[in-house]
Parts: sequence; structure tokens; C-alpha cells
Amino acid sequence: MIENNDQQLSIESIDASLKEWRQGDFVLGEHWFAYRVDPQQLLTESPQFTEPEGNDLIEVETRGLVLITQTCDIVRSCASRPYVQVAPLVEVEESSLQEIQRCRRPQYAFLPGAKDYRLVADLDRVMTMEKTIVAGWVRQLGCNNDQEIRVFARALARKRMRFAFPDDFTLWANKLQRRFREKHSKRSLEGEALRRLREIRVRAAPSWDHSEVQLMFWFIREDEDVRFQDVGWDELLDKWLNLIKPEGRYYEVEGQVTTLVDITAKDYVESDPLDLDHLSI
Amino acid sequence: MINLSMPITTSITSADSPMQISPIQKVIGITIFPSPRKTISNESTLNWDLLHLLDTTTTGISVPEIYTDTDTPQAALSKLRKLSGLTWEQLARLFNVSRRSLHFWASGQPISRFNEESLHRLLNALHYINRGSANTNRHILLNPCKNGQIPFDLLVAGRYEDVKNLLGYGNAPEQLQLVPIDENERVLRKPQKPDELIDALYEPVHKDIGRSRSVRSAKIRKRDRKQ
Repeated sequence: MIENNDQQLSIESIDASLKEWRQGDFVLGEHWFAYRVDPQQLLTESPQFTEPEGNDLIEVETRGLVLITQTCDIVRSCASRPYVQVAPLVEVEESSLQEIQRCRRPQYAFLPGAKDYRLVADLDRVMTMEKTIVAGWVRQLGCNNDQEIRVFARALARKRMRFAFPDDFTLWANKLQRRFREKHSKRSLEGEALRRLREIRVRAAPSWDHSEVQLMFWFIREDEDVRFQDVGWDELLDKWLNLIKPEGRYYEVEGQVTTLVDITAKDYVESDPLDLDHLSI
Repeated sequence: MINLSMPITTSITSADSPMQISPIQKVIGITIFPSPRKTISNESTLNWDLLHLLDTTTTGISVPEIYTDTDTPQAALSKLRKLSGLTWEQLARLFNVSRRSLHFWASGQPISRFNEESLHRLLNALHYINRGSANTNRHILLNPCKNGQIPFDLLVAGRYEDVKNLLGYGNAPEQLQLVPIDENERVLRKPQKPDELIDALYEPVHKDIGRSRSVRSAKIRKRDRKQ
């Protein structure tokens, strides 16, 4: 009974300690990040770290750890939610920090609170630990407001939530990808038009797995860009569709330039966001 | 004040018949886009500019249920899709064009005057019969009425007035006007733009501290959490 009371007090104490923690908050200092390896075939560490007995766990020192668990799970009682996930904080150059801030490097997530240390979250590595450990940390504020929290959460989502398009689609859409890659940063009309697109989505019917697939591309522009530098969006659409002509099981390919006002909720939820950068095998 | 019962005729073309001229004996607000198949007289001609003028007059004419043709064809097509609940395939059948043509119209490609007129007539008919829900509108358009006629087939044939007579006035409830969300909130909800996504860089750029150690794992007995 005494043991149970102690345990209850301990849980309450841990819960109270974690009450203020939010996703993106971090701890600085000497911290160790553990991961499992094959001692016979190390990919990231030199063999000198292996023990003769063949231990298959390695710890590496980090500048800190950042919580990537969602806030609602962090603040729930450790009696029912005892774990959190953390990512190591790593140091980057100033130029890389700016790229990470602009979300150009999906491996990392920018943390406004760690900016002065040039530390970012390395999302390639995640470790699970019990909340008891976090309860003993000194909390550093990762994000200062709702906007920063959203940006951080978006970086996490981008890393984990990409839709895996079929390989044959990836191959087939290669021309479109190439065109976008070539044009998007140029001062050409098409390059500027691409920069004005808000999102590209693609709908596969009846499904991506089907033997015959009808594709519909939604090029979602901003509402105000009714015409683009005196060129109709239909002319740009024609160019883009010429790069993705029906082939193989993709027997029909259509596209439309639209706006969020005009696309129906049905069309939106039935389509997948097309992250052209990840169309690679 | 314009005499609403004054016969007005109009010269129009239809999708599947030669040019006809129709008298408008009813209130303008109902027949401002008359069916191409109505009876004919030659008293005067009602052009689209006049229709628009009547529609926007401040002299007291009430045309609450009539769609104004001040929108672009793209906006009108978007409204037609949302009002009707019809698929792009079905909408294409209404114009006797391919689905691709319709997508290009919606993307900004100029529409012929002929198709533009059909578009506005269709939209006018849809506004009239609108039940307030795209799903319901779609249902009543695609299912046979008591007389066995399918309103969608009548629309395909350009018999817009017949559809209005068959289905009647929809008396759609007014749409709830929501307060726009804050501009900052709107920006926060934007996904990353395609041009940002395509420019992603993947090489690791961080510096590791360089200290690491192997860890000995040990078996532990699972704690009985119920105790």
C-alpha cells in the first residue's frame, strides 16, 4: 500500500513537471542519444566503439534533445502515457540554418528558441524515453507562439507524412518534375507562374493500385492571380499537360488550374499533395 | 418604371436547334435567360447588355433569384459545378464537349459566345431550382420525375425552362455568411509551396560532437503495472 502511495505521488510529481512542456521544447547540456546497431556492420560509428561481446547499442553525445511528441501526449498523465519521443539537437552553419528555417532541408526542423546556438532538430533520428527523464530537465522554450509551433509541426509532418506514390508514376511524372525543377527559380514567365502556385494535387481513380488509372492534376493558384502576366493559366496548363501524356496504365490524364474557392472539398480530399521533390525512387 | 408585362422578345441560339426568338410574357426576373425553345415573336430584341442592365437596375425591379452574368465564365462554371453537384463528365455532356475542354475553360481558356450563353442559361436554371444542397440538386437532376422525364436529359437538350417548370422554384435557404479568418491565420494554414518543396536539399550538414560509446543492454523484468 505504501508502495502504491509512493508510486502515485511520483506520477503526480512527474505530471506536474511536464505540465508546462510543449512540442518543440528542448534541453541543453550533455545528453546522450542511443540507437541500436549491428556490431559487425557499423554504418555510422567507427569499429573501435564496439565491445568484444558485441554490444549492439550505441550512445552518441548531443548538444541537447528536443521533444517531438505532440503536446497533448506530453501533458497527459504518465500513468497512461509514460513515453515521449525526442530528437537530437545538432549544430549547423549559419547558411544552413537559414535554409532549414526556410524548410529547404527536410532532415532538420528549425527551432526558434535554439536559433542563437545554431542548433536544429535532426529528424533522421528519434529516441523514445520515459517521462521521468524529462521531469528532471531544465526546460528551454522551443517555439514562442502559435505560428512557430505550426511551422515546427509542419516540418515534422513533412518528414513523416509523405504519400508514397507508385514507382511507375514517379518515372512517368519525371518530365514534369524536371521542368518544374528547371523553371521554378528562373525569371521566365513559367518560372514565375510556378512560384505563384499554392499547391499541386493529383487524384487517381479508381485507385493508385488499379490496372487502369485516370489521373487528375489540380494546380491550385492564389485567388487573386486570375490571369498571369497577361497569359491565361490555360496556356500554362497546356504546356504542363503536354509533359504528362497518357501512358501505360495511366490511360487518361487531365488537369485544371483552380483556386481554393473553386475546388470542391470532395476534389481536395480525394487527391494527394504532389511534392515533386520526393518523386524519386 | 419598366412595364414587366410588356412583351419582350429575344434572339438567341441554342445548343441543338437553329436560332429562335422568344417572347417573354412573365416577370423578367424569372425569364431573363429564356429557353431557346419557347414560342416566337418579332416585336423587339433583348440583348445580353440589356439583360444585365435590367438585372442591375435600381428602379425597383426585384430579381432575387436570377443569376447575374457579371461573373467570368470561369467563375460561372465553378458555380455551376458547386450548385449542380454534377461531375465534370456530366457537365461536359451538358455542353457537348470533352471533359478536357471543360477543365481548360475552368483554367481560363476563352469560351465561345455560344457556350457562354449556354453556361449562363444553365446556371440560371440551377439557381432557380436550387434546393440549397449540391447533393440534393444532383439527386433531383439525375432521377426521373413523376412524368418519367429526367431533368438532366432536358438540360442536355437545352430545355432549361422545362427543367425549371418541372422541378419548380427551389427556395434555397440563404447561405450562412462566415466571418473571414484573420490573414495571419490564413497564411499559417498554407501548405508549403511547390517551388519551395522542389528545391529541397538532402545532404546532412550538421556537425556531430564526436563522442560516442557502446552501451551494455540488460534484461529487466517487466513491472506489473497493476500492483
